[in-house]
Amino acid sequence: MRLLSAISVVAAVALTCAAPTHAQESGLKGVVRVRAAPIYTSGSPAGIAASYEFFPGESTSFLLTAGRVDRERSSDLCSGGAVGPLSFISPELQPNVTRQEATAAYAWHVDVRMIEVHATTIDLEVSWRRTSHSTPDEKVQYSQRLALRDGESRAIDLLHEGPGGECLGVAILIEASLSEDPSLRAKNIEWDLWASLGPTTVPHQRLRSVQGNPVEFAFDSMAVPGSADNRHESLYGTVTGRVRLDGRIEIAIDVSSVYAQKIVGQDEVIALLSKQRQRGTRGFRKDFTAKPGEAVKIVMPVRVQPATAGPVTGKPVIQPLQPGYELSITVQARVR
Amino acid sequence: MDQHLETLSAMLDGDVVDVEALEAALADVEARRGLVEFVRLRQVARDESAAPAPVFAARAGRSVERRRALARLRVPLPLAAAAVLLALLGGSLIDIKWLAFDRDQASREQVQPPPQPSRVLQFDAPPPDSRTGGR
Repeated sequence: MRLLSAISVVAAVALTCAAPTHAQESGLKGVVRVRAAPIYTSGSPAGIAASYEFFPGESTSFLLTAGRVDRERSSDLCSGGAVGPLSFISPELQPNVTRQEATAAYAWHVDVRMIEVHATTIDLEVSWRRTSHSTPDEKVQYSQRLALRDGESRAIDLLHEGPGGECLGVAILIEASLSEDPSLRAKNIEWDLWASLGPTTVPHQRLRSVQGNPVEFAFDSMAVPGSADNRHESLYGTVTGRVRLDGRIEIAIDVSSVYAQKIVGQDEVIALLSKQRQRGTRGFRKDFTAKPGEAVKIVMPVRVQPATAGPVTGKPVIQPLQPGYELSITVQARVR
Repeated sequence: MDQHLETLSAMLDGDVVDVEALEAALADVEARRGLVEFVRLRQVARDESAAPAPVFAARAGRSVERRRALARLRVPLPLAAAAVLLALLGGSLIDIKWLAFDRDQASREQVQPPPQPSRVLQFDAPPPDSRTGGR
C-alpha cells in the first residue's frame, strides 16, 4: 500500500457566503474538487484533494503541490498535497501552507469561479498558475471555462516523472458534482413535451421523473411537407429536471434527430436500422430555468429542407436555398 | 437552375455528368452557391452518428414482436367468420354518431397542439472549452 505524503488537507466549512442572495435561493450548489492524482506503473490511487461547495457567483483558491525538494525528504512527483479553500486557512496554519509551497518541486495556484449550476452540469472558470522550484523563472498559467457534468472529471495539467522509477507522473484534476438542499431530493416532476416540424405536430409525450434523474422521450416521426421522397424526421432524447428552493425548475434537455424516407412497416424499420441507412444529427442541448407550468419552446439550430424531384432524373434534390421548416420541442414541467 | 443543381448534386455523388452541363452549372452564380451548400450539408452529415437511439430500437423491436405474436395465433376460418358476423350484429346496435364523435375527440386529443410558449429558446451545440494562457 502506498502512502502519499499529504502535507495538509483542509476541509472547508463555509460559514459565510459570497454568493448573491438570488443564487442561494436556488438551493443548488456545484461541488468542485481539485486533486493531485499520482500515476504509478502499477496503477493510480486517488491522490490528495481539496474541495468546496459553490453557489453561483462564488470564487475561491486552492494550492496543490507535487514532489518535495527539502534536503531531508526529497521525493518524486507522486508525493502531493492539496490545501484549500485558501480563504478558510486560519492564521495559525498559514506558515504550514507557506512552507509546503516553498519545499514543493511544483506548486499550482488554482482559482475557481462558479458561473452557473444547471440541472445536470456546472459552468465554472478555472485559472491556474504552475511554479517550479528548480526553475523559478518559469511560470505556466492557463485560464479556461469548463462545463462539467455531474460526476465528470477533467485533467488540467500533467507532469511526467523521470524514467526508472515506479512513479510516472502526476495529473491535476478538476472534479465536479452537484449538491442540493435535502428537502429537494424527493421531488417528482411531470413533463409534457411536444415536437413540431413546421405546421406538423405529433402526439405529445407525458412523462414523470425524479429530481435530478433523466427520463427518455421518443416522438413519432413527422413528415417533411412537400418532400418528394416522403422524408420523415424523428426526435428523441432525454430531459432532466431539478426543482429549486424558490419553486422554479432547472431543466436540461438533450435531443437528437434522425430522418429517413417514409417507413411502411415495422419490419422495414428493423431492416433500416440494421443497415444503418438512417442519418442522425449530433445531439443538441439546452439548459434553462422555467416556472412550473410555463411552456418554453426550444428550436433546433438547423432547418429541415424538403427534397423535390429533380427535373432531369426525377431523383430527389434538396433545395438548399429555401428557408426550410423549423424543428422544435415545447417543454412544460410541473412539480408533483 | 434546378438542372444545374441536379448536375452538381450528381457530380458530388460520383455519378458521370455531362462536362458541358457541368461547365454551365459552374457558370451559374446561384448554382455555385448551391454547390457550397451541398458541400456544407455533406460535411455536417459526415460528422453525424448513424447509430439509432437504444430507446428507438427497443420500441421497434417490441412492435415487431407484437406482430409476430398475432400472426402465431392462426384462428380457424369458421371461427373468424363467426366473429365477424357477431361483430356486425353487435355494431348495428351501437349509435354510429357516438362512435364517430368519440373517434374525432380521440384524434383531437392525440394531436393536441403545443400551448403558446412564453419564451422561445434555441438548442446549443456542446460548447468547446475556451482556453487561454501559456508560458
